Amino acid sequence: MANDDQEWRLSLLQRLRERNRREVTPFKEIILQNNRLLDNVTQLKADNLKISVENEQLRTAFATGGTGSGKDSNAAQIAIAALEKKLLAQQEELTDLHKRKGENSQMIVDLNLKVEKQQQIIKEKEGCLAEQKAANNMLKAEVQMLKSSLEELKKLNNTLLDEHTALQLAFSALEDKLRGVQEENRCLLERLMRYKSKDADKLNEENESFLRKRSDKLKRDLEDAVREPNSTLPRLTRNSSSHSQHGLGDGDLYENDNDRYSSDTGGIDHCIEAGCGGELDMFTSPNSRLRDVLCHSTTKPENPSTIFMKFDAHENESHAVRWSPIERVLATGGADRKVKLWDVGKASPEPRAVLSGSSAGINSVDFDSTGSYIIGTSNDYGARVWTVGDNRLRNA
Amino acid sequence: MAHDREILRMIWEGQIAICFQADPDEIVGLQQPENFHLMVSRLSYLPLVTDKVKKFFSRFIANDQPDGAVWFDYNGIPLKLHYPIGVLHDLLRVEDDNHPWSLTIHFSKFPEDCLVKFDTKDILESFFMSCLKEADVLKHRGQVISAMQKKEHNQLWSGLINDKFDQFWAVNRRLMEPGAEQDTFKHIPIRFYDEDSTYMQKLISPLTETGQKKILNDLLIEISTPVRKAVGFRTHGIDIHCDTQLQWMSEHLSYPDNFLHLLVFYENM
Repeated sequence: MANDDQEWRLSLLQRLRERNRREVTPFKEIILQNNRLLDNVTQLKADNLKISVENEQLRTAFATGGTGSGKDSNAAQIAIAALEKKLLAQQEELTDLHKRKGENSQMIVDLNLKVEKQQQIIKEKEGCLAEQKAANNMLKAEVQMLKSSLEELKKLNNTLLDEHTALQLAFSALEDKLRGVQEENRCLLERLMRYKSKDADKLNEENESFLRKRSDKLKRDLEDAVREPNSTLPRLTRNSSSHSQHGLGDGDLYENDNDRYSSDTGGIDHCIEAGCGGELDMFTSPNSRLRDVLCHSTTKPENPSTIFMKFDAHENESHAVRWSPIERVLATGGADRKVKLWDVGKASPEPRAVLSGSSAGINSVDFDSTGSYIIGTSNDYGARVWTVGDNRLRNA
Repeated sequence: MAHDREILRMIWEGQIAICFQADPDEIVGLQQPENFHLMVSRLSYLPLVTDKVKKFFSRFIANDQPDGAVWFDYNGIPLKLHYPIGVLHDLLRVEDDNHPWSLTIHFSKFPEDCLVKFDTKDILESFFMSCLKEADVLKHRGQVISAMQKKEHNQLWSGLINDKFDQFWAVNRRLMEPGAEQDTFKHIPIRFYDEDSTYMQKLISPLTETGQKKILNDLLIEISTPVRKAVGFRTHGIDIHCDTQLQWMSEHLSYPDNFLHLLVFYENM
């Protein structure tokens, strides 16, 4: 049943559409257009009619204007005059407008020129701007480069600092090593010194034994000589034992509280003189060669073994030393070109005088028998004599 | 209830192209008026749509006639002014070519014996309203139309003359509701037109004796006489399929006066 419904309904629809197609569509538009056109035509006809009527009226008015009654013609003439006035006014307005038009176009031309100038200026400015931008870019590039180089330098700096610290560490390590090595060196030196002192002791001992043997021999000789008192006493030279030799020429003086000895043998460098009073002896210490020592036994027959006094006589080496024959004064001469007089009465030697005048190192000094003059020989090929009392140079 | 809006719309928008000619006897002056063409709605009435035509032709006519004396004819047959245009067209149009329907407008010599004069539109409105009431009496015993207010009646009329589909059908929809107790109208308001422009109105029920909804076949049988057999119906310019339900037809294919105007084709036995 539903299908049938649809069927007749559909057929109905279809027939309606066909009817419309047949009856409506061909005519609708055309009839509408037609009606519109008809309306337009009637409208235009009406307008046309109106205009033609007006035209006729005007024509009749114009035609009858010249030959018609005075009132009419006057009216017409007045109208004509009014119209002519209007016409004149219009023409004036027209000329005014033309003038204004000309002015306006002139203004337009001027403004165009101005606009062009402005555009020119703008172009120039743009050129400048472009240049500035280029310069800016270059500067930025430079800045970039500088920054990168700065970075590199910082890196270098860092590496240098690292190296520095590494080197410092190495340095400290090496310092430690050095200290260690120096310690070792010191130790070794101490040992060396000890060994050397031991050697020196040994040598001293040997020396002493030798000396003892010698002294024994001398004793025997002396005893023999005592038995025979005609034999001459050789002058002895004695030199210090070799201990505490520095070889630097300190100029130390050694004194011994033993017997004085004197000997006179050939080939000996320094003379040693027995001090007056017969108790003290002295030694010079520039070299360490052993000397033959002869014993002089005016008093006790012993070798000097202990140092009584030690003092620095000269800045440089001491070459000569002499006892004064009359008083307890010592004269020393050294490489510092001076002869010094020392008073050794007390425990420490007191410098009594300094005799200068020599131009080279003093090699030897001597007193005269009265003890009032000192003579000194030096390396400057000359000998000088001073008086002891007033320490003045007497002869050169 | 009239659900099928598409059909309703198509019915409402049906139009006919008419070409109005002036009566040559009545033309005054030298100018020959041109034919005036117009598209008119099938559902409307001639006096309602021909104002412009009258105005157009009245310039060429001696204007001393009263306004209501305008009448039309087709091929010599005067057209009844109270029939809907679609009905007139279906009844009278003979040739089926592609020309608009040619009618002649007359301003004088009103045939008083054939036509009813409709001087003003109000007369036509009263006639329209009476048709509506007659139809509603047939459908609902007159209850619906009498329950409506005057302004709704006016709305129907103004919707028709102004061609406002929604305005008209807002009210007409209530007239198309089936009755309270059954699913259909009580009777179908229907007029059967013969080929000589007379019509017959019978009391037609939408249901058969068995209670089923009647279709057109049943109706054909119903109005056939032993002398003449009805073979087909036409309305709104189309032939109707014989299986169409009568109730549906009444709801959708009625003219604005709520009547079905069917042209019947007869065969003589």
